[in-house]
Amino acid sequence: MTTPGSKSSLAVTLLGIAAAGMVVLSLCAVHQASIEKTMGLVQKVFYYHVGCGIATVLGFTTVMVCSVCFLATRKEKYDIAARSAAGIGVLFCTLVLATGSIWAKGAWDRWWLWDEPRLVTSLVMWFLYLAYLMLGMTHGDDRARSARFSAVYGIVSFLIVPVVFFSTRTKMLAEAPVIGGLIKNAEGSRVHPATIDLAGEGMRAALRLSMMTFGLLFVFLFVLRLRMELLSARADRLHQRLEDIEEIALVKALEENPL
Amino acid sequence: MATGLKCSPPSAASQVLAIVRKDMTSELRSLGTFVTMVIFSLLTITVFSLALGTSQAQSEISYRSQTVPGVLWVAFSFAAMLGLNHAFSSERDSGCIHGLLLSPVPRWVLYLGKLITNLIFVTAVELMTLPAFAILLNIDNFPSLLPKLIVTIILCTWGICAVGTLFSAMSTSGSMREMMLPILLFPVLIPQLDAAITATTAILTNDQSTLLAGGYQLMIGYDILFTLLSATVFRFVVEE
Repeated sequence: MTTPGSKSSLAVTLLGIAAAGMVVLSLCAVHQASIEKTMGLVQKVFYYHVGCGIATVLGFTTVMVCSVCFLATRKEKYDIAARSAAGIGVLFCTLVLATGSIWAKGAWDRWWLWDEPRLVTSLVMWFLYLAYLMLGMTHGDDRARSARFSAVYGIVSFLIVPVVFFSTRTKMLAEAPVIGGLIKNAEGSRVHPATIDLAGEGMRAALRLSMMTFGLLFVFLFVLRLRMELLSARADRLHQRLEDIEEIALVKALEENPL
Repeated sequence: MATGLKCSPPSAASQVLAIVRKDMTSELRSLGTFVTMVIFSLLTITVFSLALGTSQAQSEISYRSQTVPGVLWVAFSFAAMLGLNHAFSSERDSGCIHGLLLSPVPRWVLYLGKLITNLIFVTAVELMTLPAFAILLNIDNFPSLLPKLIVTIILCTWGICAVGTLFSAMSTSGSMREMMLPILLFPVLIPQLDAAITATTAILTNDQSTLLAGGYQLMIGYDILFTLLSATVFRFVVEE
């Protein structure tokens, strides 16, 4: 195993600086973007909402890829990578739900709508990956078994991600309740506000920039977390070796000088 | 050694059947889990009926089509959870799992055997609860609805057991054991339960097209997908 030396530290620091710079840039861009007509100021949460969504998808895709790699190769680093990505994915997924809820209150005048597939599937996804994290915690001592179970669950859970992605409107509700301030399409049924076009000045640029920012932010946090977990695993191994050496030394000392 | 014993391995189907037979025998000898599941699902229905409305509201059509399917499937999925928890924990407690793993059968055969046993047991519990459910929740013309309800129950339970068998093998070890199965299983089951509730609502309101498109098709797709996926990854779960 390579020692995470000064070179990779430098790379991580540079990545962090780049991410911070992007955050500042995208804040400016969101500030500059014109205000959407039907929803008003609350629509600006959309840029962060989509950004967090991108980071969530990146996170959970990484979990799936690393889980497959782990089952194929049985290398510990893939297991560690999958867990690190899952933790960050859940963080961003929580942010997606929170920003989405704020946006829904502004656009639909409801914090939550149970008949909106995007909302419900996102919540299910959040629960799935919380369960994934829980599963990783419950097999404390038996690392190999825990890694196998987590990898299997990481692969099965990933099935939800495309469902969430393509679920803006799968069910057309004929008898959709009429609520004041709802966003509606031409047929009069409620739509997920993401389908509203971004014609305003600077809106597309802000969206693109915020998507890139959150992508970079995910990569930065993931690398940071991965490094930490790898070092922690290494420390554990060294600790174990030290204990073994001490034990051997003690046995030798006892053999030479019986009490 | 080489005494010329003709022993071609039995076919996969007979291997699966052997596992099912073994499980059925051991389950039928102690009906504890079975009885617990039936009582538990009856209790769930009772609690929900009391919590959700008065007898006057219960006679209304809207109440019937909106509430009853939900109550039914909550009760069934809770009962299934009890049964699935038991499926592998008893194997591990008795050490039988080692025998099963040592036997020269592919892992997916083991999985299918377990899946079929679970399916038989959970479906049996559900079918036993169903008449009581129809009486307690005042379902009219119940006998005429019965065939469709049975198809729905079998299709949904197949999906529950397909995922549940895989996850119950995962949640029988570790520090939290039985606590883990619902947390692992319910998020994955939500689409299936949603389709089952849609189908049951369609049966109660006699809506044929929703029953097929929103219910049966989704459930069959889910069943096939998760049976294949679980059978493929099962070997990673039980390698000791």
